[in-house]
Amino acid sequence: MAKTIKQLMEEARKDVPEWSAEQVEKALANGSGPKLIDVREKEEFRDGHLPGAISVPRGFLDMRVEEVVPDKSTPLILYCAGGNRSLLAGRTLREMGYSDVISMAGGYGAWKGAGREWVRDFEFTPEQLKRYDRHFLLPEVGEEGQAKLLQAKVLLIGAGGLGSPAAYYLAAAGVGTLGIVDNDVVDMSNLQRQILHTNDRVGMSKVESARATINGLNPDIDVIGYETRLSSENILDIIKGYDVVVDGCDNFPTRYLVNDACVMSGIPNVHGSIFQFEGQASVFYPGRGPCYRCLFPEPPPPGAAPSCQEAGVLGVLPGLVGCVQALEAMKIILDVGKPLIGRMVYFDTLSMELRIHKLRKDPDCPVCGERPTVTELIDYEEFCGLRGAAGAEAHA
Amino acid sequence: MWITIRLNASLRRYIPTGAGGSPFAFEVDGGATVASVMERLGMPASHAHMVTVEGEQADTQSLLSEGQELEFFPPLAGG
Repeated sequence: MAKTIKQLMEEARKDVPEWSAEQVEKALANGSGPKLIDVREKEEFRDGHLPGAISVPRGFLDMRVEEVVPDKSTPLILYCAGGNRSLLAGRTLREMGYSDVISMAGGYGAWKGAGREWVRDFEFTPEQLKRYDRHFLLPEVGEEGQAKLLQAKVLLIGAGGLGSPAAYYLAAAGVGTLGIVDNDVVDMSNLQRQILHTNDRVGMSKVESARATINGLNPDIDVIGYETRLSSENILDIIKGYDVVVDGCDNFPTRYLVNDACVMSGIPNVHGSIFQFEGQASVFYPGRGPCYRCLFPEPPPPGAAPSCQEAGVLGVLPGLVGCVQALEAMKIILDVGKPLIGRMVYFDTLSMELRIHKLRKDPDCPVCGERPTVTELIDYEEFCGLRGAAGAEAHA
Repeated sequence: MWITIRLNASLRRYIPTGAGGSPFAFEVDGGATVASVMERLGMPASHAHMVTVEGEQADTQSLLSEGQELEFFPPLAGG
């Protein structure tokens, strides 16, 4: 026999206790309290919600809740606008095996109406809501994560082989500010792998070419160009204010300068480097793991490690490594997963072997060790004897 | 005893003749260290960049055991 909504609600009340907003507030004040789920529609959630609430609209609840709350013994408090939808949603969860489900009587209206704390998340434009839809579907990103990405600032050292895929994917993913350091111009020999640049931009500055490609893909992105050579004089001012640095430069003087400046500034450095058919990536996060000098304390002697310009590089290889760098930068911004801190991924593309090695922080590291000997930035260009000096050229 | 050695990137130049590429099996005495292997490969100490034993960063004085994998990494400049 068909049931009325009143009958359904009465049945739900037998399975799902109702708490007042006051009771919910007390339960949430306990740090290890229950998980709070907002079952209203996304548009309602965006207008304002309880602090710390997770949005799982009732229409998707049965399909999504196990991703969000895998442990069915987790205490849950559901709320909606007035307390009806959350009660019915609670009954669904009880049928799914969730053992401790509460519905907040009076819902968000009662909570907010009594002057309790509420928050409004980042306001997306209608275009952004479409553009980042696939991120919104991931519980690890969602609207909160996308807002973090849009507000994040990533500095790319070099717009070459590694910087191109890294910047392009970070732009697509909606990292709001991309700084690009490169003082080179686009050369025909770059186009075999540097996918930000195009045939008709040969001779154009790489920063301007990168800006055109990035804004063509995603006009949300604020591209800040630095058409300059990095040096001990300017690097601290340039990296200041960035959340993450992505090192895709092509020479040792810059790699050491970037490493030391990141250690001194406390900024995570997502490292990538390549040679012919091989590449490596790691995350050097000050205070949380080793830095580049823990692996390679001093630059190699001149000629010991040839550049791509001298030794060649397979076109697709920087795409692999640069994408790993972009991924790691996103994980740091989102604070999800396990970044490559204290680990190095090494690609050998000819044998198609990928190995991950454990790295250790060197207590005697000259820059991040217990008694650092490198306490000022060093311009290594003369020492290394490399052409291009300490610029951030990425034309290798 | 036998160990396996991997030489990466520019360090491949130290693969012994006839080893057939990297990785390769290499016979060492008991008590061999990373440094003694480098000497036998003809790799200068200045090339002792990053070394791992069984996938974990080690140093040149690390002792080696039967069947372990030793891997050498030069710094890579390219980007």
